[in-house]
Amino acid sequence: MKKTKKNEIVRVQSVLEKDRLSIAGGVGELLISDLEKMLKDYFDFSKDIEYSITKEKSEYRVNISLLVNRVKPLNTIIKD
Amino acid sequence: MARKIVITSGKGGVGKTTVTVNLGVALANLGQKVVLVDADFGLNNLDVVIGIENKIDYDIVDVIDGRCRLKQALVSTDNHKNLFVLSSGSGVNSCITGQNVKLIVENLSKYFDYVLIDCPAGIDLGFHRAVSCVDEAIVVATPNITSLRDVDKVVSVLKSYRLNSINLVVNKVRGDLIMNDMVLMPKDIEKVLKTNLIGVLPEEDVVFLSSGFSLPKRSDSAKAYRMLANNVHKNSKKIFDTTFKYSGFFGSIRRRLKNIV
Repeated sequence: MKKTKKNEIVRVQSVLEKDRLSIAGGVGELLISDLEKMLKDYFDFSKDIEYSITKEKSEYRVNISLLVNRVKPLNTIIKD
Repeated sequence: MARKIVITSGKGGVGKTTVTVNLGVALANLGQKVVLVDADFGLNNLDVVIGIENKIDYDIVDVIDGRCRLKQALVSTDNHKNLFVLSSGSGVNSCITGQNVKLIVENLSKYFDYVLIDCPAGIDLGFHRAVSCVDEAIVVATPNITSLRDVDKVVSVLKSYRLNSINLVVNKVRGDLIMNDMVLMPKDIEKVLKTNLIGVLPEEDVVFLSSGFSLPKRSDSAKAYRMLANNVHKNSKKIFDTTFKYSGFFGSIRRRLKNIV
């Protein structure tokens, strides 16, 4: 990739954001994989799960968003 | 009491010692009484950059060990009666603790207007020893990703010290590359690092070639350091523009010639 100011800014921001989050690489992919398995019990969906992890002072805000086609009905079993 | 400022960067080779020396000279030229303290124990270079390596009889380690008084270890400079240096010596001594260095800096601050501390590279013991003595920090960065990454980490560590100020100086800036849109501008760096910019220093051969600290007065670097000193001392907001001689018609010719050469 040719070194331009725009590319460089994007690259610097990306590197600094990853460093500041202190989150290991691959965590995002693992999170999505686990969420997919869990959410498929409740919803039918074909679109990708979107997520973001941002740092707010000493805490992290995790936002997860998903567009679903159908909510699966749940039947409850009453135990005697 | 003096203003105690550490000059740090994280990454080595960005120009901390050069900035310490030339900022000290510029502040001395404003009539301030300045002492430069080399806090890089074992890999000291302040004495060599300023050209007083043959004048040192005692250093900070001798003071800590009680072999001399603090005033005996201060070396004056030939061209500036207001500028003094406290060298760190080239040996490593286990008596050098953060507390000892802090006491020395506190003693110095009674006799000077500015105590500038040249911090070692990295963020380990030497860094913390230097930063624990001061109230302010100047972080030196160069416009490349490795330096910016290290500066970002240094700034986040400095914030835990609750200093009065943490300011940014961008060194080795090439105005021609900025005009060709190939590197980040200092203002972009300020935005990305979220740290206040107080100085921009151009990359010039004269800095590398100058003996001691005798920058030619009319050089861009000397002008830039004067602006930096005014920003530090008088809280002015003037930043040196490295692009002015590369803009316009003649500037574009200069840029092309620089690319060819």
